[in-house]
Amino acid sequence: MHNRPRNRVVDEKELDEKRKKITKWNQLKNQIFEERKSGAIDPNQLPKLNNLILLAPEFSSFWNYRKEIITDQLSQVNSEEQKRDIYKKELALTEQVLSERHTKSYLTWHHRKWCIVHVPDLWQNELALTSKLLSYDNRNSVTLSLTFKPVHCWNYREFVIKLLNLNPNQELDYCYSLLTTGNEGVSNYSAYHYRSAMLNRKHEEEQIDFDQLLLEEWDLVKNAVFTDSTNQSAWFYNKWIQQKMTHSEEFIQDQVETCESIIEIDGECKWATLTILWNEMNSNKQLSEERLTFLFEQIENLIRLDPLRKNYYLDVKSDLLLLHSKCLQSDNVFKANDLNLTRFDAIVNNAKYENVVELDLSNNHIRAIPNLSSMKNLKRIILDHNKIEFLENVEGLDYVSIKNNQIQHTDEKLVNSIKKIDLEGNPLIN
Amino acid sequence: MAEHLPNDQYDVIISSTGLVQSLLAGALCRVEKKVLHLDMNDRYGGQQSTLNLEEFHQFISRGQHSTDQSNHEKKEGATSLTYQDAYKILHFDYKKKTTTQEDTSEQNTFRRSDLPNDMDEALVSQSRRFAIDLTSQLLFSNGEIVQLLISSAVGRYLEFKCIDAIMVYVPEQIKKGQKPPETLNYRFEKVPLTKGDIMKNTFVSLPEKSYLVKFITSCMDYESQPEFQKYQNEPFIEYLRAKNLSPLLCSFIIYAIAMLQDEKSVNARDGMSRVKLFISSLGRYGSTPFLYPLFGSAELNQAFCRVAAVYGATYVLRRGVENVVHDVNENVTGIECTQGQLLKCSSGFVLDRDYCASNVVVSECNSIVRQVLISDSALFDPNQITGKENSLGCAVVAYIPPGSFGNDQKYCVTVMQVDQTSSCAPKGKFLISLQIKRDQGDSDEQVLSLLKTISTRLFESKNIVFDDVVAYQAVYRQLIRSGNCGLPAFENLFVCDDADGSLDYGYLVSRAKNVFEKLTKGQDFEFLPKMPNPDGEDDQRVDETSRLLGLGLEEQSAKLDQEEVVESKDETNEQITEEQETKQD
Repeated sequence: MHNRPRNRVVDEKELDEKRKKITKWNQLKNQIFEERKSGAIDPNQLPKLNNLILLAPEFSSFWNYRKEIITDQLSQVNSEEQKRDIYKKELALTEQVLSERHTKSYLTWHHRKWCIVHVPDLWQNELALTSKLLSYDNRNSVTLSLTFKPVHCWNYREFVIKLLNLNPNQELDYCYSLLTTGNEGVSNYSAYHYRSAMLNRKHEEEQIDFDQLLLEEWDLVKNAVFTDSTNQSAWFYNKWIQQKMTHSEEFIQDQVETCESIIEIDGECKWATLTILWNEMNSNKQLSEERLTFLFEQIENLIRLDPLRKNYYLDVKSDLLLLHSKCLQSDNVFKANDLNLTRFDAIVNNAKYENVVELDLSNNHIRAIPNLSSMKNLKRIILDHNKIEFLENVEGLDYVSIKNNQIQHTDEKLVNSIKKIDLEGNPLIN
Repeated sequence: MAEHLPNDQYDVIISSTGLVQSLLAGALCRVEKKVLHLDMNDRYGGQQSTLNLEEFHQFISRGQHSTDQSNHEKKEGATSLTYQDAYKILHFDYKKKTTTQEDTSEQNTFRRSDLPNDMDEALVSQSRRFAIDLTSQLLFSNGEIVQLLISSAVGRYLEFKCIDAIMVYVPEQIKKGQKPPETLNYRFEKVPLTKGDIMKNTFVSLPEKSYLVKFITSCMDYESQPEFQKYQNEPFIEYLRAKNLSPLLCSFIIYAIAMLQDEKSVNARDGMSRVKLFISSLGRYGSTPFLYPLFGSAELNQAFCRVAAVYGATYVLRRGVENVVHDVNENVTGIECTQGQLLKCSSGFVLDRDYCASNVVVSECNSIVRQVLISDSALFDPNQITGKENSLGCAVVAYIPPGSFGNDQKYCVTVMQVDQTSSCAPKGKFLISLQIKRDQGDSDEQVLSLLKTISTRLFESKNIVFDDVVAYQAVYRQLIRSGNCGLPAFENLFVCDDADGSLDYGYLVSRAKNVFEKLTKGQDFEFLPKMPNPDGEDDQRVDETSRLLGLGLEEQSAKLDQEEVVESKDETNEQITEEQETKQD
């Protein structure tokens, strides 16, 4: 509905009422500004500020004036009890703003932080407040989850946890309870994210082997994805687990087997297929011809299920081809032609190919030349008949053949640094 | 008590306050019909009656109702009716008081209760805090009756509790490669129904989780699926098997979701329509699709009777019907009630199935047998069910599939447990009921002993001795009668069927709507339109912005801290600040 004028019928009466409200608002706001300018620090202004803050909690001057008045009040009372009462009133106001009106108000959360550090005995209540606000995320999922991104609330919760110096286990349990609430809980992205943060803390504080913790998380993910195989949040969480896990063939095998049994039940599950691919890429095992064929079938499947990411899947396929087919001709020549490769990052980043002197990747669909600096011995590169658009990353090589590509511009300095370069068949403009 | 009722001013006369009749009374009064509502009992509810322990014991310990009608003269043009008792008491038993208690009660000679003198004192003193349903019924959160309660605003008379868990009695799962033991251990397992519950569940295997979620999500449009087309006339179980559902999931679906009595008698079409009804009520109020009225199911009948009374119905309890008087044109002209008065009305008469023509021998029909237990110990531990420590209680529905207790168990046993959280029992007591369908010709003794065995064994499996914890038990049979009751088919006489023994109210509501349409033929009335709120609070919306700005009430705005805040939309506020900013520019 962008860029389309709203056809609103303007009701004179309604407009008049609105004007009245605006005048009144200006009047009240200016009164407060006058008072503040005159240097008056008057506790009687607080109730007026209350109302204005409830109307516009992102108006920083109000909060600042409040802080001035309160600081003054605090300096005048001596007993801890009285100070506590003053802070309590502030907490009540911010809670009202947050829970009934503007959950996303930065200034309100900030004001609450400013107060709460002074009243340690109330910290425990803050957990209940954040739990309450976070539960709004699940309820009314249709109306609220679109608008209510509870980042502020999560951040505040983490802040309180640090104040309380709480054991992360309690928070892990809390996340688990969020994940197992109702029908939407299983895909609560924030809960997974927060869990990962708490796991890091648990690892540091309790000196528990991180891999062990991750294995338990993998069990949780298994339950989540078997419950709902389209649950993107859980699959993303699993990607994090994969990356953090110390390399273990056993773990990879378990992941692959689990995903395969999900595909057996739900052949359309994109995420399970993709997770298998990611795992096979992490594995150091040489894949059999048969296995590769299976994986390529899966890639075709992915392209069908998710055509928008076709190029990414082709890139993954290129990586698999380069890593597992026997392309290496001798110790120093690497040749891979007619394989429909779209990129060759996989060999560039692999220590196995450090000694390659000549790289021949002609007759593919390569789109760009990656940074080749890790291939220290590379002298000659042949990239004829590809789809490269920019000549880059080939400085100082002895021989570059890049015939029949899409290159339009060349950098003179770069071209001069190469002993011999063949640019024939490119739509060169300069 | 024998005072005569004003006559000749009613549109409809209704006998018995069962749910169909109560709904009808409410609906008719809302469209300004004059209704006379009779009930032969001294309570509201008919078959949905809820009784306290004393009333329940009276009900249980009475003899069979006398069916003696011989002292009525046979009148010209009248059919005399016989009361046919729907209930037969098969057994009752209660905990006797201990000797120490006897001493104290002898001092207390003012024992005004009708409960037996040797009954456990703790039970007697708390008698009024029990709410025992004669028939177990539950409301589907999205079912017709709930929609009706909301649309008519009758719901404001009632409070509900969500059923906390649905359980099925299933054998332990044998893991792959494990040798099956000689006898399987059975236990109650929770049926997980939300994705969260399914994820948490440790009894259901991982692939089963997928299949269950797929089944639940796909059943909203099952009709369009090719598999269903193929199987719709096949047995339901075959269809489920074709969908790769394991035996465990099949029991969950057949008994807990479709709520069938056995797996053989229903085809896929009927099975799936019951599944859809169940699933469409999920996720509305809690983790199960059921609601239960606090203080028992008769509250529902009373709420509708209250609507009727507010809109002018006349209620007379302790008055039954003895004769139906009719003319030669096959029209009922009046009914003679138990005080002998002939009552007339202009539109129609509604009777329940407790009456049938005296000259007709009513054939045997299906029935259900119910066991009601008052126990000190729960069959379903509230802490475990709610997942909270020191839980106050819980409400549970559980199913024991046929055959779980031998071949004698032909049908599924439905178990219900309620307690103080549904205001049906005092603290620390649990009201447990078991019920099973009984075919015509089955022997009562067999069903009785089956139910006794099952309840004893269920407690045993929790290492509890039945006699130690059960303070009161009663077993009775309840008829499910429908169709003709021996009366000729009079055009203005409507006879309501008995409750059909299923847990939900769908059948009863459709029956009430049906009779309502016939009674108001051609007048196109809405069935129970929304009641206006007597306080008229609905329309008063406070403009929050004005209030905060102090518009209209300049002086009071300062007191915001103490005032309760009325809910409002912040849209207008944002607009104001926006406009404010543009002005400043």
